[in-house]
Order: sequence, then structure tokens, then C-alpha cells
Amino acid sequence: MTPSPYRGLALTLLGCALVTSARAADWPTFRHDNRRSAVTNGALPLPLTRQWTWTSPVPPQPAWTGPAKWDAYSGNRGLQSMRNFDPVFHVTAAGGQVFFGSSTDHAVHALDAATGKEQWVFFTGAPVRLPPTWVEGRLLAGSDDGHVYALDAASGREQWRYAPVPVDRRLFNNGNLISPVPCRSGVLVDSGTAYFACSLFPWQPSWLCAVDVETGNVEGSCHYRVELQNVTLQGALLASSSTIYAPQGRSAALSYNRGTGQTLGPVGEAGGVHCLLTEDEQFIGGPRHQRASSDVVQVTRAGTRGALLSFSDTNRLLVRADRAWLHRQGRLQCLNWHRHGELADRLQTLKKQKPAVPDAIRQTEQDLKQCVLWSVPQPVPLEYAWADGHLVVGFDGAVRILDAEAGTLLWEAEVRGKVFGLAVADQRLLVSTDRGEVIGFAR
Amino acid sequence: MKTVLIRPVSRRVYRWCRWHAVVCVAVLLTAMVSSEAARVHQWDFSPAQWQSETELTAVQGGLLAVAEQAVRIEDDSLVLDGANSLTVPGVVPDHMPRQAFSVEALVQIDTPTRWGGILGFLQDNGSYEKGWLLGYQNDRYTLQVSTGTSLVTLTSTTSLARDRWVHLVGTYDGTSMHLYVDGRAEASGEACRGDIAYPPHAFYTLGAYRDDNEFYRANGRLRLVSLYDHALRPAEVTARHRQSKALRPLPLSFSVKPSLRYTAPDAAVVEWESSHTGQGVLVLGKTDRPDSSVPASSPEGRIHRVVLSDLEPGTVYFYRLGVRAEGLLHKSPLYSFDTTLNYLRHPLPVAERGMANGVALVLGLDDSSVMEGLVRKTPWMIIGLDPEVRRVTAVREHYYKAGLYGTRVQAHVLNSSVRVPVAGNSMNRIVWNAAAPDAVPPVPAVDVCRLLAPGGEAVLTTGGSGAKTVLDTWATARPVSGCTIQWEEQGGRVRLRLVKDALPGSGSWTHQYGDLGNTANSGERLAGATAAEDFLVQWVGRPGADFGIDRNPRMPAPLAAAGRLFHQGMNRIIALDAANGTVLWHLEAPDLRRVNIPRDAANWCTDDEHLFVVVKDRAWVLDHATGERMRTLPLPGVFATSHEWGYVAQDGELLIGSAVARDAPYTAYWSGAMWYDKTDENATAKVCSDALFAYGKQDGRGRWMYRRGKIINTTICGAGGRLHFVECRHPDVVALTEGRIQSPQLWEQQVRVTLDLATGEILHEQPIDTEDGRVVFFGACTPETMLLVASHTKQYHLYAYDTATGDLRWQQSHAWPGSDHSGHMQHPVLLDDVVYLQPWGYRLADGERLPDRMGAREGCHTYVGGGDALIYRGTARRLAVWNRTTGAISSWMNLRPSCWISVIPAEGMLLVPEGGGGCSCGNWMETSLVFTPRVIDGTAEGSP
Repeated sequence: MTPSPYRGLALTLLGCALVTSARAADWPTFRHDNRRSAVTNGALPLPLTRQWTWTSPVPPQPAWTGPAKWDAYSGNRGLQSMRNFDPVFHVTAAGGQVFFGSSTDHAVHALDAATGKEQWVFFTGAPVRLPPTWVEGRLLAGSDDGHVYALDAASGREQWRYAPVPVDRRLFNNGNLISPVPCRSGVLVDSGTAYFACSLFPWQPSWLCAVDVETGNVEGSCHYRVELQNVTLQGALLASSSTIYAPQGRSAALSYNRGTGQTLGPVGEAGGVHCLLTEDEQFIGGPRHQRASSDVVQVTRAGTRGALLSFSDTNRLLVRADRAWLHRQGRLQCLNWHRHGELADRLQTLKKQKPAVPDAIRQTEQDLKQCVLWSVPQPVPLEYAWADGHLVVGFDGAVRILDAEAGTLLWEAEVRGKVFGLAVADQRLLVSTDRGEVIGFAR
Repeated sequence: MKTVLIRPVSRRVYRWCRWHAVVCVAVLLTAMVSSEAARVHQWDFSPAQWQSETELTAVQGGLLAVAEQAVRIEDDSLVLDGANSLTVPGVVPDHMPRQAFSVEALVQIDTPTRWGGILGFLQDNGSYEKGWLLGYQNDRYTLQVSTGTSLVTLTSTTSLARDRWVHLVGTYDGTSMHLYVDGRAEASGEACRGDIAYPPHAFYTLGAYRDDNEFYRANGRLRLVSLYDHALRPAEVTARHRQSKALRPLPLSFSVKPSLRYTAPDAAVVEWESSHTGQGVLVLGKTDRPDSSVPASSPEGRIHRVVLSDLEPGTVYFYRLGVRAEGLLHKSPLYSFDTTLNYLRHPLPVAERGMANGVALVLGLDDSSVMEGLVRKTPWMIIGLDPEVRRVTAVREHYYKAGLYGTRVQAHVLNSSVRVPVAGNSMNRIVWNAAAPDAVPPVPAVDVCRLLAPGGEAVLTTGGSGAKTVLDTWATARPVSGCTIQWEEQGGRVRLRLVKDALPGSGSWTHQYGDLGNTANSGERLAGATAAEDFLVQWVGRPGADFGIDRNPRMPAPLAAAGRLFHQGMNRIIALDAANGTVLWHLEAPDLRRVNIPRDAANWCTDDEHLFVVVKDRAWVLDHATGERMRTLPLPGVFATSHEWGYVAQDGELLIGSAVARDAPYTAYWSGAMWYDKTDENATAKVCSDALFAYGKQDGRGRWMYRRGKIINTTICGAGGRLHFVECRHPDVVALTEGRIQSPQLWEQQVRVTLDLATGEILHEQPIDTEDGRVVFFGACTPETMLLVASHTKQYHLYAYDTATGDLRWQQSHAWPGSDHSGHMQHPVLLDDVVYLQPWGYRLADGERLPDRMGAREGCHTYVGGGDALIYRGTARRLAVWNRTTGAISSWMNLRPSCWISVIPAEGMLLVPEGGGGCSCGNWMETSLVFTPRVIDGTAEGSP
């Protein structure tokens, strides 16, 4: 039997993809780890009750407005945003603290995870669009002011800040004074190095940086400040052992050599900022374009950057080991991911065969249907997380937890607004909504 | 309620009947029975006729029509949402009229589509065309009948309009077809002869165009649909039209169409004036069946104002307006608004409503009362700068606790004593209060002046012995250019005011094509910038792609004057501070929309104080700074009920307008057919006015009116105290009641007219016979030259006239660069002494062609001029700049303009409000931004 191209590599990469020194119970970076998997092995005992709510006086102020209402020329309605990386105050959590950056008050916030009480606030010079990454008691956050800040997680005290170029001319952006090269990539940390991008206008230089986590120093082995042309890097970076992946919003994500920052090229044709790397280094990105229907989430073989398959009529995926969860045609589904990948690959090959092989195609299509392990009616999810065998799903006005293997509803709670942010840490569920609320649920 | 239609009775018969009552009853009964017998099927969509949520029984004919999904009934009408229709199963050709028929509908079609059906039984598959259909194509109603191998189509002259009920009748009597709209015969033909040719199988469908391979569902409403087995006579059609009026929902008749303005993050005000006196009400909801009533705050009257509160963010609301008069509720169409587009983050300070929004910079944070005062009294974003970290921290913490930090107040450490690291020309107000008599502002006066936006003011206050000398020394340490300096002394306090002058060489884009002359050039010199790299980004932000109508399909251009930028989206206007992108105000006006401007005039213009916006039959005069409606100007009385306001322009103390037949302006935008890029008559019919008139801006009184032929709106232009246009005086064209004219006779008996702008008197007129401008026909002028551009048959034709005498000075022709994406409909740019029309430039004086081709355009934009550059959509469809002197081309990656004009050089900058969003393709940034010439920004070289 030929080994599947969808296996291998997985376990060796898994280790390096985790943020250094985080405990299993932590959620130390955006969507948990550097693959942005939103999967944690931390426990989440049920049922949960709302413990606390932190509310911003002003809802999140995303960097970009929503997409056009329609493509009237082509008759497409319900276009999807390809740049909604900051619709809520996404959180990270470690050591009994919850952290987030704010697009309204320009600050990094620390809350007591048990009570939701604010412990400290650190102001940057402009909106902070992605949550700080926690590493060994230190927080790293990027700001629209063009800097990355390192803060002491316990006190909020600044340790260092770094900007790839001096910010000698700020400009207005919806009332905020921002750098022409804001940091909207978050900060990805691995093996003592912090990676981030400062970028906005594709007709001006952008910067991909790798600096020392301890000092913010750009000198030294594997540290760099690379000037990039014709790019607009935005949304959380991802990393494998050898490659940095940088979403671009309305353009295809780009990949860079992790050691040098040199450009490797675009990853498939997928745009969008909802990106994740699977354990066997498939890059999943979307929405590929802003059409409401048609192929919207694309799976790409990260190493070769060749397209593998795409999923229509869905907005995002969650993948863990040989399972994937997605929403299509009004139903939340669980797929046998590896089997599905093999069959989809096979189907592509069969469809190209000449003479045609209709029977084989029909059989493969039938087999593909068998890959759906369960399917339950649910509204369109806005975010997923996996914890302790639970599938946590954010909706407009609600958060629900299903048995990940069976699809049965285990718990749900109503919330105000749209749940675009989920995190699980220290047996707590942390929910972020577009109304500016961060909610702590626990047993 | 069942509806009984009776055979019409003529007025003469009626008079006779009054004297012969007994006989009359017999006649009426006979007519009624006769009519009932002739009707094959009638569908009444009122609730009583429905057997279930999906099944409707015909009141005549007994057939059962089945909907695809549960239907929605409002005001006794079936709501068609583009996803539903009804089909009668089991109908075969034998059930259909064979030799003659009529089909009648009381219908409202909201969205034009390439193919649309109301009632039909047909197949149209390639060359196989059988059956009949009452429907619509694009924005025109149609009747299609086949008696052989092809469907013959009659097309209405009336265009379908959202929320407008029409009574349609199509007839065929074996030799001739007729199509009636609201009782009026609009199209006839005799191409069909003999029996109707039916396919063996078809779908008898209501509310959709359906055959074996096409299924296009309608958006709109159906009230009544009937099929007859004979051709109704004109008098019968007239009578049925009259009777149908009683079946239409009671419409709310407006004196002034509605508008909505946000007043707080969770509140809005809706205002309208009704024609009837009564109690106003607004019905609000989150679905298209709103059910929550909010009464108007005013008592019974005609002016209504409803305050909406507790609105949720990021939510689409639907609403209808109503006025209860004499026990009857008159209701408006359904409107909607999306609170995502409410950009207010805090309620406006009550005491200072009416003040323009903006940005204030506070230099020095040692006196907290300065910032407190600004927060309390103004709506501005207040930014504090101070060299001391502790003061900055204190301000941040204070306003964070107050819930205002970031969105009302910001504070930053000032690390330089030379320059504030912020884009120049961006601050509306700068405030500094001396902490001590010997104190001076933390940066030099030169930098304070650099930071001020044009018209902005720095107020620097000090006091005590010698303070003025100290401040004067600071102010004169280096020459401050670009600001006017004033001193004030009062009560021991000395105040130095720096007021920023207009940027040198700046122009205002006050009309669709820049100025009254349609030159596509505002006089803006762009400080000599001629390449993309000569510009810096001044600001980036709102509005985004969700504001507009999918690439703003040939919509009115943005305007800019007095430092403000105005931009239209989907039935909405936004006013921005051109210097920093601050949203000054935002107005939703459901009846605002106008598209296909290359065949019409724009619906707005501005001067330095007011924005003049045409909404149906009135011009709204809006305050520049706040958007408040100061007054409205109606059409001249003679046109009050039959026309809309068409062209609008301003010059000096005059507001100039034109009267166009009702519904003549293009408003449809859905589908590729509504791109207005094709050369068919649906895209290229010219909107023409029946009169031009002028009002005094200040007193609102009429000054003059000109009325003779059909004035082609796209040719109206003015300069040097003259107003020029082309009108058609062909009697058949002049007699037309519609204002969107596609008749070939429009190109006959044309006269070029020049009026005295102040008096409306004719200065001179000349018959002209240019090439027909079937694709576009533009007029543009300078004080010396009036230019006409006509395009058709792959050629542009240019004609230059002397404005003093009207004599033709020169003419030229050249091939157009393409037959799509606006290649065939480019608007000329008149810049300095040259007219540019892709790909060539000609000297205005003598028509001599310049040797070099212009930078090549791609995509649907048209060129605009600024200084020594043309700005357009260039290679790779990016926003591009062509240097007129060197021919060098440069561009901005991932930036695209709208499909006409969304980029304007004005106010010293290149203003690029978002207009290109909506395309499913491309990597476009889909954001608003403004570029400033690097040389006037004053910050470091090399900054992005």
C-alpha cells in the first residue's frame, strides 16, 4: 500500500509548532499554537457557568470594514470578508491570567482568569489587533504603531520594543495615528525567536522580522529584518519547522524560509486570514475569495505549495489528527480527514483519466460520502476549538459544545453578539464577541 | 377580497344609460358576464385565496398554482424575493388560448434582470422559440409571442422602478400585438400572424421566466394576474387600468423623500415630509416584515421625525414609513439600513451639535482642563502630545477609566523637539496653553503650521510679563509660510492664532467632471506630482467596500471643496475631512441612487458651504459641515407632478437645474446588463431634460427657465458666464413623454445652444449635425471653447466650437481603444490648453494632435486630470498616473478605482474614496485613502 501523502511528518513537526514552555492547560498564542489549530489537550469539565464578563465601552474596531454587500455583476450575494482577523478581542491565557489586545483603547490587557478582574493595562500607540503571545512569563504583542512590545506578563512592565523602521510619519486610520507599516501579524514565538511582520501598503516596503525574544535584538543567528516588496501581510503568522506562512487578506498567503526570511512564494491560490496548518503540514486557508458559494476554503500541500482540494460552501475548518469538522449546507459535519483527503485526491486523478472511468468516479464519490462520520443541523459557525474531546463552536448569539466524536450537544450558552473568539485554558472556556465582551465560563 | 373586473363602458354610453336606466343595467350585466366568460384564468394573491402556504387557487379557472416555498403576502400581494415563484402543474397547450389572447398583471418589479417573467408559457432554447410571456428584460416590460419559429418581442418605453406598481396588459389578436403600461399603449407590432405556436411542453409560471433550461425568478410583488382568450380593446385596457388603482396598496406620497442620520452609536433619526397631513409612524424590525411601531415625535402634520434608539450594532434593520390620514394608513415601500455603517463611537456632545467633526492636537498635557474642555464641548478626536511620559500615562489612564481612551482621546509621548511625527496638513485644530510666561510650544512654529490642515487653526495662549515677546520669538524663529498669523490680547492673556492657508495650487472638485465645464479637472496642480512615488499616503480608512454598490457602476463622482470630501454609496452619502479622513456625517437616503452617468447628469454638486443633492423631484441643500438639511428646492410648478430634478450645477449665486420625465434617470444596478458597458439601447439611451432653470442659492427664488427641445443632459456645461448644451428639436422627439430617449431621431434636428448663465437668455444657437453619439455624447467647455464628443461605430469624434460665436473651430476623429470596459465611452479631459481623449491629446486652440499617446487605460474607469498628470486605471487595472510631459507611467499595486470616476485630484491631494469593492476577483485593497504630494507634506524624505 502506498503511504498517504496526508500522513508523515506529523509528529516530528508537532513539537516545534507549540509555543515554547507552555503547559497543556495554557492557550499561549492566537488559536493556541503556531499552527493556529485551536486544539488543546487541556481539560474542559462540563457543565460550565458564566463566571465573569469583561466589557469594553466601545466594541472592537476592526482594521477593515466588511466586504462589499454583493457582486451585482455576477449576481453574488453574501460576500465573505477575507480580512476579518480582528473582529473581537481574541485572548490568550497562561498562568492564571487572560490577555488580549484592544483595537479600541490601543492597550494590552491582563485579567485574572478566575475573576475577570483587570490586573494591568499597557498602552501602545495604536490599536492592537491580535492577542499577545505568552512565553515564559513574557508577552509579545504587535501594534498598529509599528512596534512589537515585550511585556512582563505578571506586571505589564515593558521589557523592550522593536520597530523595523523608525516611525517618523504616522498617518490617520479611522481616527488612530498608525505607522505606515503597522504590525498586524501578531507575534509568533518559537525556540527563542519572535517572528512578526510590519506591513500595509503593497506599493511600499514591508518587513518580516525575526528577533531575540529575550532582548528584541535583530542581530545574531537566525535573526533578521527582511525588506519585502509588493506584499500586504496581515493576520496571524503560522509556522512549521522550516517555513513561516503569512496571510495577506485579499491576496494569497505567502511562505518564507524560517531561517532566513527569504521568500518561497504564494501558498496555493487561497486568500483569506482564516488559516491553519495541519499536523502533516497541509495549509488550509480561506475564504479563498469573497464569493458566498463556490470553493471558499482551500487545502494546500504546504511543502510544495500545490493545491490539494477545496471545500465549497463552508467558511472554516478545524482539523485534529484524522478528524475534521466543518459546516456545509446547514449542517455541522465531522469528516474522516485522511480518508477524505485520499479519496478527493483519487477523484481528481480519475476525472482526468482518458478514456473516462465513470464507474470508478461514481464509486469514489460514493466513498467520499461515507467519510462523513456525523452531521447535525446547526447554524453557520464563526469559530471552532477542540478541547478534551469536545468540539466548542461559536455562533451568532451562542456558544455550544458538542461531543466531537458523536456530534451530540453537551452544553450551550447564550451570549450577546457574534462569537468569533474561543480559547480554553485552565479548565475555562473564554469567549470573545464582536460586542466587545470577553466572557469566562468554568464549571 | 375577490376582484370583479367589468367590461368598460364609454362615457357616452354612460350618459345614455343615465337616461335609460333599465337598459343600462342590462348592458352592464352583459358586459360583466361577457368579460367573465372571456377570462381563462385569474390569480388574486390576497390571503383568502391561498389554500396553504404554498398553494393558490385561481379565482377564475379553478387551477391550483404551487409555490416553490412558503410565500409571503403583504398588503394582499405576493412578495417575490428572487427565490420563489408559482407554477401550475398539468397545464398543456390545449388549455391555452390559440388564436388570440390577453395577459394582464398588476405588478411591481423591483429588480431589473436580463430575463424576467410575470406570467408565461414558453420555451426559448436556442432557435426554438414557442409560446408567450408577459415579462421584462432589463428595466423594460415586454410581451413575447411566437406564431412560428421565433418569439416576437414588444418592449415598453417605461422602465420598471423599484416600489412602483404598474398595470400591464399584453394583447394579441391574430394579426397585431400591443403592450400597455398603466393604460397607455407603449409598443405595437405586426410581426406575428395566425395562431400562437406552442411547444408541446412548457411551464405555466407566475413570477418567473421559466423554460427547460432557464429559470429566472423575479423580485417584486404580484397583486393580480389574468389571462384572457381574446385581445382586450384599448378602451377595455383603459377601464381595467382605472379599476386596478383601487387594488394597489395605499402609497405614502412624499413631499420630501425620507432620510436617516445616525445621532449616537445606538440611535438614528428618520425624517420625511408627506403630501398628506396625518400622524407619522415608522414600523421597524430586523426582518423584512417589520412589526414594531415607533410614532413620529411631531403631532399630526406633514413634517415627520422619528427617533430610533437602542439600535444594535452590526445589524440590518428594515422599516416602512406611514402616515395615518382620515382613518387610512398610507405606507411607504420597505427600506433598510445597516448599523455597521454607523461610524459614531460616542454620542455627540449635546451642547455642540452642529459643530463639524475633526481632529484636535493638544500640545502639552500639563493643564488637564484644556483636554477636558475639548472633550466636553466638541465632537473631535483629541490627541495629546507631551515630552513627559508620566503626563501621557496619566492622560491615558484617566480617559481609559472614563471609557474614552482610543476612540475620543489619545495621548502620545513627543520624542522630538523639531517635528511631530505625523503627516502634514492633517490637524483641524492645535491647542497649546503656556504653563509659564517663558514657556513656548514643544515644537517650532514651522512644524505647527505644517501640521495644520488647510483652514485649520492653531490657538496658542500665554500670559504674564514678557510672554508675548517669548512667543513672538518662537513664532518668528524661522519664516512660517502657508499660515496667516494673528495676535489677540485680552485680560492679560495673549493669544497667537495660526490659520492655515489653502494648499498652493489646490482646486475644488465641485461637479461631476470637476467643474461646471465638465473638464474632468478641478484646476488642482498636485504640487507638480506626476508619479505614484511623488505621493505619500495622507490617511487610510472608511468608508470601505460595504458602503457602495459593487464597483459603483458609473455612479456620480465624489466631490470635494473647502477641505471636505463627499462620496456616494448605495443610497447614502458620506462626508469626510479630506485631510484626515474623519467622518463628518453620513446620510442614508433611500431614493438617492443614480447610475449610468455617461448617459445622464450627476445628482449632486457643491460649493464651499453647501452640498446640493437631487432626490427625485427636489434638490436638498445640505450643510457642508454637519449634513443638516437647510432647505429643499422643488421643481418649477409646471413640472411638479410629471418630472424629476435631472441636471444640477452651481455657479456663483445660482443653482441650475433641469426637469426630466419621472423615472428617466437610471437606477438599476443588478446583473451584467446593468453595467451599462454594452452598446445596446438599454445601456445607451440618453436622459434628456425638458427644461433648464436657475434658482438663487440664498433666497431659493426662481431666476429663469429655458424650455424648447429635448436637452441632452450629458452635453450641458458652462464656463465664463455661459451655459452650453445640445438639444433635439425634432417634433417627434420633443413630443415624447419619456425622458430616457433611444429614438434615432434624437440625432436629427439638433441645435447647439448657448445661454447667458445669469439671465437664461439665448446668446446664440446653431443647428449642428455631428456624428451620432449613440454610445456617448459629451459636452465640455472652457470660457473659449465648447467641445462635443460623440462616439459610435468604433470612433470618437471631437468638435470644438468658439463659445463667443458658436462657430465650429475644428473637428477630429480617431478610433476608440476598445468596445468594452469603457473603451468606447471615455469622457474627455480638458487640461491647460489640451483636450485628452484616449489615446490622443489635441490642442484646444486648433485641434492639432499631440505626438504622444496617453498612458493606456485598462478597465472601466475614465481619466481625470491634475496638474501635469492624468490619473486613470492603467496596466494590470491598477490606479495609475501618466506624466503629461515625459510620458512616464507609474501605478499603485492593489488599488483600483470604481467603474467611472472615484479618484479626484482636489484640495491639494489625490482623493481616493473606496469605489471599486464588489468584484469577486482581484486583490484590491477596498479601502478609502488619500495621497498627498510628497513635497507639500514636509516630513522626511523616504517615508512611506
